[in-house]
This record gives sequence, C-alpha cells and structure tokens, in this order.
Amino acid sequence: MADTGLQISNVDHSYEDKQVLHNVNFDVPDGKVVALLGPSGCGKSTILRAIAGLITPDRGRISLQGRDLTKVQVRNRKLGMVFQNFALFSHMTVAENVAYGLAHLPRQERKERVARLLELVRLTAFANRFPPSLSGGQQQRVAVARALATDPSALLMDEPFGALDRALRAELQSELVRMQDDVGITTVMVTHDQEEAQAVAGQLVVMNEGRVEQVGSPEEIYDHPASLFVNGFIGHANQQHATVTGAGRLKTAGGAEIAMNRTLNYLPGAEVIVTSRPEDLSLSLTEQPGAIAARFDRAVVMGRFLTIDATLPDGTAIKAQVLRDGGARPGKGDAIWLIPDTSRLHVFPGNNQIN
Amino acid sequence: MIRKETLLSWPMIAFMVLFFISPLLLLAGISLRGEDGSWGLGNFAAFLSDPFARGVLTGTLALGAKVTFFVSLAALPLVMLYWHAGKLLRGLILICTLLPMLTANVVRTFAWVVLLGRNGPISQTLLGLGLTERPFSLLFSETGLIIALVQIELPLLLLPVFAVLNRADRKTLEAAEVLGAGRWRAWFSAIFPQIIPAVLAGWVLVFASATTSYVTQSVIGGARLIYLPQFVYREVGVLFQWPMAAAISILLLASTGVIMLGLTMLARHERLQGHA
Ligand SMILES: Nc1ncnc2c1ncn2[C@@H]1O[C@H](COP(=O)(O)OP(=O)(O)OP(=O)(O)O)[C@@H](O)[C@H]1O
Ligand SMILES: [Mg+2]
Repeated sequence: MADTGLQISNVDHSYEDKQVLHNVNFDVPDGKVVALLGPSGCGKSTILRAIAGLITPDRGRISLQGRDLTKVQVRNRKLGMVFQNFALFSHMTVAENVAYGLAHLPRQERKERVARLLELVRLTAFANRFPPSLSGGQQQRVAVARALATDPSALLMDEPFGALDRALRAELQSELVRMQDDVGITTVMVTHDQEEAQAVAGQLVVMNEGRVEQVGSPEEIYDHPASLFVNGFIGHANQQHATVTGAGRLKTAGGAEIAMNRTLNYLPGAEVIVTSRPEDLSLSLTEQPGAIAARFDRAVVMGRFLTIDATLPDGTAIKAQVLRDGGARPGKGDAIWLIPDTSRLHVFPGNNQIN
Repeated sequence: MIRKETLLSWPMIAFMVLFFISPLLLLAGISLRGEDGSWGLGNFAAFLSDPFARGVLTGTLALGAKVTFFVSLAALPLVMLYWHAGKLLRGLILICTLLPMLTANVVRTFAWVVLLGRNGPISQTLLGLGLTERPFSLLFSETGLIIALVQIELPLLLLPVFAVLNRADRKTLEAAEVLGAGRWRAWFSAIFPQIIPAVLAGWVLVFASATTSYVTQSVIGGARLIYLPQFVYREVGVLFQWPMAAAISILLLASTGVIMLGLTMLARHERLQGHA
C-alpha cells in the first residue's frame, strides 16, 4: 500500500441500525482533488465526517500519508474542513474566524498568516466584518480561508458551493482550481453537481446508496461507465431493453437490429439494457439498417445543436443531439430513425441478471 | 389609523394601559407630592440623603447581583450536564427544573425555613460530620437568604438556556474541533455564544425577581435584614407615608429598569447578531 495521499479502505458505517456506507474504498493522490458525487442521501457527507473523525466508522481504515487516522482524535488530525453550511463563528469577525485554528502561533505570525489568507480569498476589506453581514459567497470564502489557515494536510469540502448562484459558483470553482495549482492540497470535495465535479477534480468517485460505483477520471467515467447507474448519473443515457441474438448482435425491444463492432460477454438470449448518449445518435428521415425507429416529439435549438425528443414504439423516451443543418425538420408524430454510433453504445445486464 | 393587523392586540393594549400604565403614572404622580402638599422631588432627595435608606437601596441591588452571580454558578454544571445528556436525561433535568415552579413561592420559602434552621438538615449534617462545634442557624442571615433565593430563582435562568440548547447548532462545534480546539475552547466558542442572549434574559428575570421577592426576603431575612420591598411596606403599612413609598417604588423600578436596559443593550451587540 502506498504511503502518500489519503486512503479510505473498506469503510462501513451504520447510523443506529441502518447501514449507510458499504465497503467504501478510494484513494486521493497527494496534492490532488477528488470529487465525491452521487445522489442526495448516498453517504457523501458521512464519508467526509468519517475522515474528519466526527464519526467513527464500524469497520475499515482511513490513513493519511501512511498514518492510520482511525485512532487519532478529531482535533489532532490537522485537517481543514469546509462545512455544507459553512459553520462560521458568527460572534467573531472574519479575521478572528480565520485565526481560530492558529491559537498556538505567536501573535505577529498569526496576524501575517491571516492577512495572507484573506488576500488569497480576496476578503481583506472585510476583515473586521461579522459573518452574518456577508453574502453567501463571501461567507463561503471565509470558510475556505479558515480551513486553509492551519496548513492542513488534507482539505475536506462538503458541497462548498451548494448555496451559490451559477455565476458565483463558476467563479469560485475556477478560483479553487487556481489555488489548487498554487498550493496543491490533497482534497476531497463532495458535490452532487456533475459539472462542478468535472470542472474541479481530476478524479471522480461516483457513489450510490452507500457504495462506490466507480472511481476514475471524468473521461473514463463518461466514456466507460462501470454500471448503468453511473452511465445515467453522469450525463444523459438513453436506455433500451434488448436481447442478445449472437456474437456482438442485439435486437432491441423496439425491433431494431444492432450489430456491435465488438463481441459481448453475454450468451445469446440474454436480456440486456443497451444505452446511448444523445450525441452518439444521428438523425435520419428514412429507414436505415441498424437504425432505431422512433416517433418525433419536439426539437430544441441549443446553440449549434438540435436536441431532439422522440418516443420509441414501446413508449420509452429517447433523446438525441445532432448538429443543426439546414435540412427539413420532421413534424410532431412523424417517423424518424436514429442511427447509433455502435462503438459508443454500452451494454449492461438486464434486470435480475448477473454479467 | 387602526389597522386590521393590529386589531387583535388592542384589548391587551387597553388592559395594559388601564391596569399597568395608569397605576404606574399615578404612583409617579404621588411620589412627587411633598408632606406639606407641595410638588417636587423632595421625597427622592429625602430618601437619597438618608444613609440608612441609601444602604437599603445598595443592599437590595447587591442582593440582586449576588443572587444572579450564584445562580449562574449553580446553573453552569447543570447546563453542561444538559448539553451532554441524551433525550431521557434531558427530559428528567427539565422536569426537575420545572417541578419547584409548580409550588407557590411562599411554600418554597417555608421549606427553606425548615432547611436553614438550627435543627434543619444543613446544621445537623455539619454537626454530625464534626465540621462545626454546635448547631447553627442560617435563618436571618444574608447567606441563608442567598441560598434560598438561588434555589428559588434558578429555573428562571435554566429554562431559557435549555430552550436554546435544544435547538443549538452543533456544526460550529464540529468546526471548532476540526480546527484543533480542545473541548472547553470548542464549547465556549461554538455553543456559549448561542446561549448568551438566553443567559442575559435569564439574568434580567433572576435579578428583578430576587430584588423584589418580598416574601422570601422578609421570612428568611427577618426583621434585621431590610430590603427595598420591606422598606416600602413599612412606609405604607406602618408609617402611612404613601408619597415616600411611591418614591421608593419608583427608585426600585428605575434601578432594575436601568440594569435590564443595560443587559438588553448588551444582547444587541453586533457580535451576538447571528444568535438572536
Ligand atoms: N445523524 C444521523 N442519524 C441517522 N441517520 C443519518 C444521520 N446522518 C445521516 N443519516 C443518513 O445517512 C444517509 C447518508 O447521509 P449523508 O448525509 O452522508 O448523505 P449525503 O450523500 O451527504 O446527502 P446530501 O447530498 O443530501 O447531503 C442518509 O440516508 C441519511 O438519512
Ligand atoms: Mg451531505
């Protein structure tokens, strides 16, 4: 086992008798940002709390730079944490908040450090204000400065930008990326916003119902989702039930015969779910071999693209995104054919079936 | 002028004006009446220039301050216990705090007469342990009075504080711990500021209630320890000096009022804005 960075190994946790973390494993390389993402209630905050020591997991090991943290008290872990709702001390000024973790330093050194951090988050002018009189974005930056002040060996951030509007969120995200380039702190950031995760982190950890579904770079996860859940959670995925008819051949519930350009690890006759990204479908107004027949519902212009909503014969919705050309557009209810890029289709086991 | 939204509050306002504001104004009026029928601040001047009366005034305010101090001291461990207690223990502490309040003040005072007396459990226990040579009585002493008042007024401080602790934000406590603060520092920087407004409100109640508790003061303090309420009673009931009694009442009201105002202003301090 490597002894740099942050390692979470085989962590289980239960609240009362309800298990909310199941065998969670992932590593954060030294100085890198990892984003934890997943739907609400999947256990993201619980993992951060376990790393910080605010809860003790039932099982598993959490180690930082090779040191087992499980037996170390919260206050001795030397971590920085940004809470979901900031948790600032509202009776202390911005400067006092930032200085809170620096009580052990001599006065002069403490002052200099606070000044430097306030400059980093561009809040120097607000040093003597109280948090309740600041905007959400400013409070957020105080929370980040306070967490960074102690020179933490790792930074934990729980949906730090959750409460902000889109513009401010984007600004703070790029600020974080810039800061990370300068300082390079091992960071775990929780978010349920996939765009934010992709913008900030080099590695994503996708979770569902207390389990890690996949760990990988944003590309890996988008291009090679490990499960149907990941496929649908990161970006949009059209799903169709299908049956394997031969080596690399499928027949969808709607009757389309798809010839994959690779062999599949399924026996003929196996029930599967085949998924496609909207941008991997192209539109045809005439029947084509291997095309998926659908009925056109509507099209929405998105810049240079056209987003098409259509319905398959069995009633499932399907989405396609194509480049806008001057050609004729179908009307509502017209028959259309969507041609999949077979190299980019994903096949997952159908219900109640093991790969 | 009468707006619909305020309509419901009018009966209460009328009641207050009729039975609280007007008697108070009347009292203020009477206090300005001299012995010879003239009007002026003579009564106040007479009271404040009398060293004995001045002593009673400062003694009463000091009693309020001492009781408030010792109530706070007694409350601290209970507040700590309540904070760390689980649901069940919290309920138990709350009931134990509320129960004495269901008993009349007079009854509680007479219970203290028994406890503080020469043959009471305090004296007998210390005697049994050999900590004192002969039985003693805490009755008619300020120590005894303070002990009784602290017990009687304690719930007035505890209840508002418990109410705040029930919905206190634990996230800042966790933030303090993650930042390396020890238990005490974390508690005092995260939880204590949240209860300060409740503590100030409790202090106002305890102070006002201790300085004006005629029954406890006269029963346990006895005839030698005189506080303003008894002084007022003496003026009215014994000397029939209504104007003087009114002046003393106004002084008592004004001094507790000033302290209340001070504490309320403190609660409005910028540093406490997030917790109000
Ligand atoms: N103190 C607690 N006591 C009991 N159950 C809890 C407690 N905290 C969280 N849970 C449960 O544990 C599960 C995971 O919660 P957690 O807060 O980790 O979710 P999350 O992924 O952070 O969600 P969100 O995105 O909404 O913040 C949830 O089902 C939640 O109801
Ligand atoms: Mg959460």
